Amino acid sequence: MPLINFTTREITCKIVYYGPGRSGKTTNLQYIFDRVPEGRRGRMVSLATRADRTLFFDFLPLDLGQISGFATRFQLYTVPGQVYYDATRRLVLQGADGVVFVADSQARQLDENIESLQNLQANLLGQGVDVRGLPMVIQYNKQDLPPDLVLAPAELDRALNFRGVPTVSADALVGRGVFETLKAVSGLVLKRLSEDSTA
Amino acid sequence: MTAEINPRCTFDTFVEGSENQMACSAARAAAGALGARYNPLCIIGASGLGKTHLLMAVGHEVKAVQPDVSMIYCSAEEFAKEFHAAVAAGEGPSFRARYEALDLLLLDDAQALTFQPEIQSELLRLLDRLLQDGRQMMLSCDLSPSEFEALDEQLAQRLAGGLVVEVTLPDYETRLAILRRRAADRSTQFGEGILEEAARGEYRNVRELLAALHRLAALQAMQGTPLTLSEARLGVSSEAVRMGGRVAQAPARGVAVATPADANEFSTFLADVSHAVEEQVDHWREAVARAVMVWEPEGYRTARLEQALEGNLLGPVERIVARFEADVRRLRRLQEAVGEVAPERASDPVFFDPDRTAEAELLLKDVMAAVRPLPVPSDRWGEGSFIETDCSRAAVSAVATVAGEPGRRYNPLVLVGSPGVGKSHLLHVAAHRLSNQGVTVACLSAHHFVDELTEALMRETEDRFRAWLGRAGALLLDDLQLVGQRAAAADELVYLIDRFLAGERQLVFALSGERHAIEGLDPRIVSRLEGGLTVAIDRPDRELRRQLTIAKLEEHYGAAELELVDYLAAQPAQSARSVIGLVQRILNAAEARGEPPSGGLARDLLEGVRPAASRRSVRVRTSGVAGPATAPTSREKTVWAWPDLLDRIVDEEAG
Repeated sequence: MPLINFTTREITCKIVYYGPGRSGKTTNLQYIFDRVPEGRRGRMVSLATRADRTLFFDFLPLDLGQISGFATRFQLYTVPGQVYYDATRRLVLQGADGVVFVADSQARQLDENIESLQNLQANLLGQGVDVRGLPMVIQYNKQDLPPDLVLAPAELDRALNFRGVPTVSADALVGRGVFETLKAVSGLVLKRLSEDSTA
Repeated sequence: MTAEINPRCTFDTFVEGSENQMACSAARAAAGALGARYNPLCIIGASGLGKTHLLMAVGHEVKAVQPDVSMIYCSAEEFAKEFHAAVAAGEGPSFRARYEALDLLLLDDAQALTFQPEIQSELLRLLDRLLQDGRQMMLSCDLSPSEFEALDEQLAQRLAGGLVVEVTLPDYETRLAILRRRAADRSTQFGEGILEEAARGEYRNVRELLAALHRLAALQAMQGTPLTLSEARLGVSSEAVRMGGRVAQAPARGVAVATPADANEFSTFLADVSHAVEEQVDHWREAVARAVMVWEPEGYRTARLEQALEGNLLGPVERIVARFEADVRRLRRLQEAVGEVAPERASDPVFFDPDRTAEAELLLKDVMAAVRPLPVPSDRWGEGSFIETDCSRAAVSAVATVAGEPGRRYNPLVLVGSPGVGKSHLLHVAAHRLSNQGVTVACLSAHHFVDELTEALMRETEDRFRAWLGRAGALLLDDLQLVGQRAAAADELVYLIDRFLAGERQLVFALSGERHAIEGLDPRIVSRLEGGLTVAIDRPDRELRRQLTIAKLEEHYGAAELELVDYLAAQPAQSARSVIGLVQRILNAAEARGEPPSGGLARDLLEGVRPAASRRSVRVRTSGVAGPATAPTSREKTVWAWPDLLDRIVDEEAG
């Protein structure tokens, strides 16, 4: 997917929310959907199980309007976090311009976070993408939980953020950190416009 | 740390009201008489009520009156960090010395000192020192000093001993004044009563008041029409607001709607994204504008770039500029080529319009069609007829290399060797190969070169001579030693070599003589040839002699007798030419005798082993020097080459 199309004068950014199951990826998208004016957003497509687990993926298109003569669109996707949906994750990850890794801050979820991060790297590598070159932000979600249940951002940094990417502490249920995360990853993706621009 | 003071935070921009008048007056007084009035001055109050603004205003005021005043503005947190870092680095004394030398210390957010006894102790010591020397300290704090938790008693007393003045929430008039001032600052005009309506709202601090102003400004900008009072009321309250359209009316029950804060969240995101995109587009435009500024003064038409600058980008800007510059380079090459043969046509406008490169190429073709063709390699010396053996392998390899990368590898390439070893043949092979690669070659002998130059000198058309050879993509010159002996020709050759080397165009020379023959040339030519590669073609080895013999015999008889081939291949030879000459002698003799060429005939002819009845025995030398023959017109009487005697001895020993 071209990041920038000079012929049609469009900028399209695909951002994928990745992370272990129940880390809050869909919650992020739902919060954004609720806060974006109707005229700016498309229909949020969500395929979920009865237990509200993401079955396939969530998709939220955002139309940011004309910016400097370019129709600017963001497409936000989530992947199903469960281990057995790896094929779907690979599919959704294709052509991603940026990734938000939504980590579950709960201490007992640390292994799942690490496993999911490794899975992200493996899937990107399978598509010939070096994770080091892809704009990425890590969101430490559920930081609102009691301190004895969650790991502090510094501890999560040590376990997950060995690349030193930007991180955001969040409580996606009430929206804290949700837009900060989106802004951070958007900034990284848009910075690459001139580097990666293709006709 | 005065650099961190916000330039907008001055007394002029501070909106005074009843709730902050006392603090403002005290701050002005302190700024007007450092250390003499209200020292220390401590401004307390909730966050967002203007305490920091007043501290910074004092800093600006003092600096304006006394530019050389020594002053630091920092937060208490920064002060503590700096202190800890200095102590850890063993630089506590220099830290103290720096602060004790101040005329004015502005310490913001002093509430950060709670539960930090060592910092409080340090601040107390500093405060005592400053007070003792009549210098000023001013603090801001979210709490009153008496409310400081775990505050050092002595420090609390010192602070209370100065002036503690409180700022409180602004009243309606102040709020309205603030809104009007800020609206004017951002050049935003609202309809009548809008700001008054906004000022009537309830706010916890001035920041919330300003946030309401920003929301109203954003709403008005998005709607494109002035806000109505009801819209303003909704905009500043917690009612529904939809960004990007008209302000919504009261929402239906149960419908989830975005609050103003939510809308602000999205609009902030949108503003950030817009800023990032604009930065990129600006970057592109700058790149295009730079290119226009470079090429337009040089006379090139930049319409294509200007079109891109106006927003009609047809591709990534880097590619647009790169293509334009590539076209300019192409035009320059075409213009240069035309200038060499027809200088009067080099100023044609077509050479200054990158959108007309095709026309420029056609013009060059027309010009070239009108000039003399370049000398081409001989078909007689094609690639297929050159026999490669160990004696020429290095030279053949070098030729293959330069044909693969003309001008980039061995340039110039000099083929050196005795006469008749195949230098000219290989030179023409090189010319054919380069020509097949699409290179325009000029392949000529030194005789030809000198003759053309001489005529050009006589007619005073040296420029045309230079243009003639100068338009070649590769120059291949045979018998270089002949050029080197003539001063004018050497001058011209030096000129051409320099031009070809500068343009990375291939040069190939053939030079008769031994490896050191190059040293006999004009020193200027020698120095230029030494930058390339000189490779020798040795005298024919047995394998070459054998193959040459077979080729010659097959050419006449379609087949060659093995005994004859072996015998002739064993005969030493100075050159390929002498091998062919020897075979020709055998053929002539066979023809004269009316019998097929054979080993016996050759032995008879060359060694006199079996004297022929009809002829006198002839002692034959294989050097190509024919001995006495029966027929005075025989080719055997021809002297093809006079070899060096020493070389011959060596060869025969080797053979």
